[in-house]
Amino acid sequence: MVDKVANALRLTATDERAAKTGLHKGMALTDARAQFEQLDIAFASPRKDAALLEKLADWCDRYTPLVAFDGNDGLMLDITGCVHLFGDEQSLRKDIHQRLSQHGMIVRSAIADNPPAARAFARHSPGGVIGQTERDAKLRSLRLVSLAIEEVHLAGLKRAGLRSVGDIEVLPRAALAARFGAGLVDSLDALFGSNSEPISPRRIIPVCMAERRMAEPLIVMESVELVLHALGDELFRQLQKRVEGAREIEASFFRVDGHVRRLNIQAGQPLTDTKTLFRLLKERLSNLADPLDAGYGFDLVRLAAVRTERTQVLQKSLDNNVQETGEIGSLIDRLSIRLGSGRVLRPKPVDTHIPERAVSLEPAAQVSPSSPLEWTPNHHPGEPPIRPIRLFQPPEHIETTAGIPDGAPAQFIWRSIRHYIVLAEGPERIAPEWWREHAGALTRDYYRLEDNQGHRFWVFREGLYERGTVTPRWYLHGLFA
Amino acid sequence: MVTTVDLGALRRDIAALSERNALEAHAPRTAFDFGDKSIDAMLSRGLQRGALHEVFSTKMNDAGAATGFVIALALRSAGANSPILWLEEDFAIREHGFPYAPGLENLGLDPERLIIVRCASPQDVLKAAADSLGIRGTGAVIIAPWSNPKCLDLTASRKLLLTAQQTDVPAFLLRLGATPADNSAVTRWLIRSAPSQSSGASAPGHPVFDATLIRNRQGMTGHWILQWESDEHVFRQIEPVSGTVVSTPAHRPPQTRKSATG
Repeated sequence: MVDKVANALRLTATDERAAKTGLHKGMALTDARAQFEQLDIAFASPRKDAALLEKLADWCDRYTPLVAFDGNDGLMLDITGCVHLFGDEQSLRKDIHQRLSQHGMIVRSAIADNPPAARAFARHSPGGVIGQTERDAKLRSLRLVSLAIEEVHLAGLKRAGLRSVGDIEVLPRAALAARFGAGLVDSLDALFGSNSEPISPRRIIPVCMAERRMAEPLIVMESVELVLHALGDELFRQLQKRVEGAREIEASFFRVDGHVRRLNIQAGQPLTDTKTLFRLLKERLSNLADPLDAGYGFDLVRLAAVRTERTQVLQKSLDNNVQETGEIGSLIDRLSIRLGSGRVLRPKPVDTHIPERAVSLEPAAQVSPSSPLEWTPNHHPGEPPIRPIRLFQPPEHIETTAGIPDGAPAQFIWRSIRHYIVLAEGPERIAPEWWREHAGALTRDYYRLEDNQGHRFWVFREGLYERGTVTPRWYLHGLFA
Repeated sequence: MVTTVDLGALRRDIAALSERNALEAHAPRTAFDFGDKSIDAMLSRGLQRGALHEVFSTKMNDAGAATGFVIALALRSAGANSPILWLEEDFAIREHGFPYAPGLENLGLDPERLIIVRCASPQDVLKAAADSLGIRGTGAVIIAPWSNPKCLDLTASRKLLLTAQQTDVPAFLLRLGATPADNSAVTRWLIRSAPSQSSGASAPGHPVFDATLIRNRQGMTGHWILQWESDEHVFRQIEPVSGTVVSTPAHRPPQTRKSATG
């Protein structure tokens, strides 16, 4: 593999045979070519590498939900509490190696009781499962490269005749830090430390989850559904103990060939039973752009509650009110999943005079139905409406003829129909919000108009007459009832 | 011996019978009225609440009036503070603007009750409508596909009607830019804007609708000029403002109108 690094084509990765001959990462391509004329090279593609690593990380979710990237060429798995599913660490590691080699990969791995040590063993030793008792001895025998320190310091240490981690571990820390920087000491401490540095997982850690591994991959959708049912029951039992319901559930399907498919289900109100979950899940499945394909079958199916919320114990009231609110909530959830949450909306007032900004439409699934939204009446009782019921966005341009230059229009043409105005009220002047708009925004004068057929319109003139603009333009912004 | 059976006629008979059965089976249905004495006296039993009502505007300029009329009917029929679902096709929004909450508030609808569902296709609108009508907690469902979609046929409208009857949730088909065609709606209204009574200083007044009931399965049809009183949530029949001519609907002979208003 070659890529352009520091203005020269350099090797970025070598295969096993090349490595044996002494070619190494960072070597200039011309130097390598000088040694071996028949060198096979391929251009590196960091993007494809990253994508592959991403897929691998997805795949590794089957072992633990805590998967983090380690640099751009490794993965760190926190398997605390997950080992019993495979028997012991040895068989877990064997399982990883076996499955990945089936996909044509060469894996180097190590299991140790803290992340830096595991990293050092995996990258700079044959790997394996390193128990607590033998850890320190093994660490000491590692070469200095295993320390995560800068290149210059590494060279300095080598020049001083130090070869292995053990050589420097015995030296006084203060002197080391003074000579080679605090990084070295930190890295040493991290290696031998017992407190594990937390890893930052790629995905949100689920609150609780239920999963099932299949000896025989599931191919038929009906059997997948059966498994999901069982998992749902299990998940909600767990949640019930915590007196919680799930606001967000993730269903993961691990295919035999390494492909992982995830479905995310969000609910406006906490889900507490499998039946409701299934309704939402079905909705989600029925409008997937590319349907869930079992291919050669799923060998692991998992349901995880990603976000939960405390459930209120609802008392059945006499007037069924509570039950009805619940029904509306589940309707909103269903529609949001089918059509997309951006299509099921509730209007929310915004404190501004600019008409098109006065309302923001928020996904209904995210607005809790119990929170009142503080709509304040914007007109006086008994007065006719001052705002239209349908608003055009963007406003539509109209041709007007005005009686007096800066007054209401006497007639206008909208969508090639001429309207003769008989009633008009205005102007209602709305100034642009200078702190938000670009400099060119103009003041609008709004008029309520009624034509001789009884149609009521909301129009505005953009720009003040003989001020601001040369020729003010007129727009129709809305229709009244 | 050969007997010919007119299958079509038989089917129609059966349909008529089952319709009557369906109507009588759930006899104690709730109804809603307009809040105006003269029109309520005409529609003696009021309008059936759990049913499909259709509101048309054929002209682009009347979209505001038709929308307002539907809101008013929804407010008359829905229980206090119950949610009102508004299912609208994207194209209708592009053509006629989107429902504007401050304006709806002016008509008396608390925007907090409103749930707006935007649908990409008429099929989505109808599917969402069926779901929304199936829930008893819904106050009213406004169904607004654009123009005359193919999928809104006799079967689809009948399904909506049956669901509405079961849950007693009113369903309003808002048909902007559409032409009336036969379907299962219980009432069909043709709405046009009518001149308002100026609130003084030549300012436009309260919403006034020129409403023609062109079909009513349960009673009489008629034609009214109705003003909506936003504060009391009632309709009020008004005399046409002098000087403007209220035209007779082209598709309806004038005498029917006379018998209705008289």
